[in-house]
Amino acid sequence: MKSLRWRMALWFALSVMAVLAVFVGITHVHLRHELQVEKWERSHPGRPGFLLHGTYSDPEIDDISGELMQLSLLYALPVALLAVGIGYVLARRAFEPVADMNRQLRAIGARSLEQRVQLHAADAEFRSIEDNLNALLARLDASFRQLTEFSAQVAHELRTPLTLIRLQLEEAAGRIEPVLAESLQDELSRLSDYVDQCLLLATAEQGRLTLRVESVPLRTLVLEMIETYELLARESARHLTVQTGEDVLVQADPRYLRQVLHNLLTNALRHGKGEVEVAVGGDATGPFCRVSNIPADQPAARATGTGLGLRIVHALAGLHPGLTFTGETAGGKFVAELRWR
Amino acid sequence: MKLDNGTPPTLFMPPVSALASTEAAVTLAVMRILIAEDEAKVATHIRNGLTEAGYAVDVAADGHEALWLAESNPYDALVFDVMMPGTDGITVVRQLRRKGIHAPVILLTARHDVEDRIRGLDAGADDYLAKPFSMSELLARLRAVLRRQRAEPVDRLRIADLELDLLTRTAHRGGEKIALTNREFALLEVLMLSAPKPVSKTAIVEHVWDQHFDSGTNVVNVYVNYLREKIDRPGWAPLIHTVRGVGFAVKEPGA
Repeated sequence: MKSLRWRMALWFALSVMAVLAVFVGITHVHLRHELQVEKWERSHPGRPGFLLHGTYSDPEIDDISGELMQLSLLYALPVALLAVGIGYVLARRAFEPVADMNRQLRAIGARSLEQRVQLHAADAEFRSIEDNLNALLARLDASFRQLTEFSAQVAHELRTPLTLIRLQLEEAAGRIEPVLAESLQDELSRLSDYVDQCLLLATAEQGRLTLRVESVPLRTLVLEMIETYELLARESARHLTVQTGEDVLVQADPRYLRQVLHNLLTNALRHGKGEVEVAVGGDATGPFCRVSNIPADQPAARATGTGLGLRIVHALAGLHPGLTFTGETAGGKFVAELRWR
Repeated sequence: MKLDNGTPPTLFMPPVSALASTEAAVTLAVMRILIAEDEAKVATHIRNGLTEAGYAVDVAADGHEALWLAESNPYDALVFDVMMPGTDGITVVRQLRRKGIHAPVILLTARHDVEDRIRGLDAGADDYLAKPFSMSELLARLRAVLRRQRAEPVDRLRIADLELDLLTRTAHRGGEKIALTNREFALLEVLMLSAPKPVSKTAIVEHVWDQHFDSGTNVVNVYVNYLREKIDRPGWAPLIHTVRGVGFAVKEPGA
């Protein structure tokens, strides 16, 4: 992974080295020039009256400047390391507000959007990022809150009349025609369920649903549920078979996992024909649960009810970590599969 | 004094005849319940239902009124709507608990999410009922919190010679143990909690299953038949009755 901090440290070290190289270069050239024009005079140790005059020979100049070069290169390594080190420390200090900001942003979830990012003693550049981020969070928070309030309002507005109808209907049920009373109660219960499903879908798709994920024995959960669906299948002259492998623990919110399975099984019973096959277990890629059936040949019927049920399955599966849902028609069969990885 | 099993509940006593130990209930005066619900029609229906069941009922139209009434009158139980103008139900519960009023509270709510429920229970509510609900369910919950409040055991239900132990989850009829599946037990439980009143099929589905079924009523019919085969064997007086158009009821023979 590319780290800006390291890159800045290297840039810093490179600039330091470049400056030093220029200095060394100038010194080197200047020294050579000086040595070339320099004329030296020396007294002879044996004869005090004599003065010796001379110039540096080319090998001597090479020797002196070569030594300077060697020393410079020798010292360059520790200086470079020191520069990288200093550069790194400086870069880290400069980026401290970014790390801080990251920590604070990580702590903000869908349920804590009222929190804001706060940087202490940060530079002007970071201050403006902080301001913009907080403005963004404020807008997000406001729309999220609106959405939640709207959902609550819708739930209230829909369920209050449903409550009233239900209380009145149950009270009056004994006094009206039994067939009518039963039919009205059935339809009311269907309507209530539809409202529940719509509100659940809205919450799940807006990411406002909190899951309570725990280890769930998949086969046990499926087998506990299946009895009722076997009964429903038999009622419509269908057959439901269950194939079980080992009982694998999966990470899921049992309540919503049951909802997902309910939607898949209801979907298979409502929009399929012939046998409904349920397979649950684990294989090399992980735990899975599969519901397959032959789709009934009325595309119109599929278009109406299926939409909501499968959309809820998609949304709920998407919220579970490691869970993928696939639903596809293959070989004349509709196969819905939940798979954990 | 012990209530004879055949005695139906009188108007001045909560209908606890289905519960095994009933000594305390007889000596108690009329139970006073406060309802806080801003939808007047819903409030009226709850009041009628509770009055019919033998409770004395007051109605508050919003949170402030509920708070004021609950502080100035000794209620045996409180039924609050969560979404009310002014102060919401959860806040009212919290304020009452802070003021040392510990009457049991049942919250009614149009929101079904788990957080809402947790928030309510954390504030000090005793139970939580999602709208739309059945009167039979509200009455059953109310009886449960009232009995818990008086530290009376709620672990045994009895109708005639049929006895249900809620702790060990076993059923006995005429001293003979009856093996029930989890669903059959839950079904018998919801019927016996409301006995002798009938329970609607919708309320049964809600109590026994998490989910709603397309042909939900048929599922209930099938399970009631399973239950009948075990509870009302040939030669025994039938206790499970079909109330056409209404639902099912567990009633004593001749009641």
